[in-house]
Amino acid sequence: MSTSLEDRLMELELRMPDTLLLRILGHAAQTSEREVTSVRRRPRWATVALAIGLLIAVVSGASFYAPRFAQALADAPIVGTAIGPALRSAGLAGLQGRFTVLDSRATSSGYAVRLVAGYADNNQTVLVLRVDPPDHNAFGRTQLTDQFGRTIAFSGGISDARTGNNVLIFQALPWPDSSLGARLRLHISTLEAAGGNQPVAGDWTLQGTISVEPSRALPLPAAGMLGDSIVRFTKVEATSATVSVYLEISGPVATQLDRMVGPTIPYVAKPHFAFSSELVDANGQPATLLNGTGSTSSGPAQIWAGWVITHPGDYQLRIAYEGVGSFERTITIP
Amino acid sequence: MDAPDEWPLTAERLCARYAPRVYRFAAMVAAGDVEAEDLAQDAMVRAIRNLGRFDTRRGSVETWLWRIVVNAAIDAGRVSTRRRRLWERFRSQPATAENVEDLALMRITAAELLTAVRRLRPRERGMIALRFGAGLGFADVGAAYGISPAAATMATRRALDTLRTLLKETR
Repeated sequence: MSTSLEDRLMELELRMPDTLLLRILGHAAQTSEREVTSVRRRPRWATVALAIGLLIAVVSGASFYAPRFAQALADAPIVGTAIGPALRSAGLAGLQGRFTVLDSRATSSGYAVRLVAGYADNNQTVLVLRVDPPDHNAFGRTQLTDQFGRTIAFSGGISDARTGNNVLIFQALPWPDSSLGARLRLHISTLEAAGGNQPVAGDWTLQGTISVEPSRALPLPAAGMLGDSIVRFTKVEATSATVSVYLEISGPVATQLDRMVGPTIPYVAKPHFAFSSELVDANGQPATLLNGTGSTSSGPAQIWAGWVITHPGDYQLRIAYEGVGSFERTITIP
Repeated sequence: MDAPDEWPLTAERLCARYAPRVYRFAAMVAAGDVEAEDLAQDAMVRAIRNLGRFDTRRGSVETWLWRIVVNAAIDAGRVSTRRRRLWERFRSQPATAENVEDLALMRITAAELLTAVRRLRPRERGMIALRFGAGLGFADVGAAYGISPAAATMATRRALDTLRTLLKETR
């Protein structure tokens, strides 16, 4: 073969348009939402989320299919505290030991679904389930309600088509559940096949009572600047396992939180979001991002992000916008 | 096997690592730039939707992903076949040129080369695009089409020969 023709083909400048990546991620997130939650109601605030909201939605949406998590879950008997390795794999290590062990089972249409464990704090509610046979997951028609019949909106999750282990993440329980705990009822009317094959209709109703991990407000760090944009902290709170930071960004950066930067060099470098927030402990170990969202529809951008923490002490929160600026603030977890 | 930093394999990571190469593939096999973007998007969304089906015991991410990408291209090709045939019927007849490949290659522009690639038959285009657009080895090219590495090598060689002929006609 002619080397010169091969070289010319390999050297063809075929640069991917900058907007394509976001189009793909956005479309995939929308598709997942439609497929997974035909009865799921999106929270009102989520409908206006564009930038960070998109990122978080995509990340959590994609986690539905994370096979690595599935491998770890497959190795762990999912009862009691033995879910620890699985939680670590899912980035929920700090929640280990915080789960309430549940054991509610239902069988319908030849499928057994078991509610294994649950966790809740002021920012999220996490349920661990097992579906048997494992070829379907609990992301079909699934509705979580509390003792008052109020629906708790779904926000993400992970499932394993080989073991049947599912982790479903819902929004925070409303008051007074947040004070009293909640008697939860999870009703599933359709199990969905991984990859969008034929769903299985049935009637699975699972119940369990969990308390809400108390959180405490922490002192607000001083505002910071990203170029001409102001970043204000509106709320910082922590449980013994998580820390949540609420930000408000005013200025040019507020409308460009979804911008991606950096070259694409296969196997070497990949584009990344210009805006970033990272929480690092005193030893330089980054905390795992658990959840979050944001809105850039109009006016200041509202952002919140939650990390899993494993110990008290000082953490450095670094807010950055590549090419514009960055700053750090210390958050002390008592 | 895949690099550890790919795990867990999320949509974001899949896109960051593979979307540019999928786009290069799409740009070569699609009829135009707009179609290339649509194809790349469709292929990547299909891959993301099927992340749950990926099984490390059955092969690498590369093999799994490019099968999906090729199938998306084949499906897209079915949709656009009628339009392409019409275009091919009405395009001007190519002129003959001197048989001095290197000189010809030096003279043709990147746009002309890409146009020539896009005039190949779908399977030929796919082979060229996987090998030189996505940068796959012949084993992966073969895996994407369900043929052996040797067969992929031969098919790619034939596609290159056809491309040479088209380029000569162009000049």
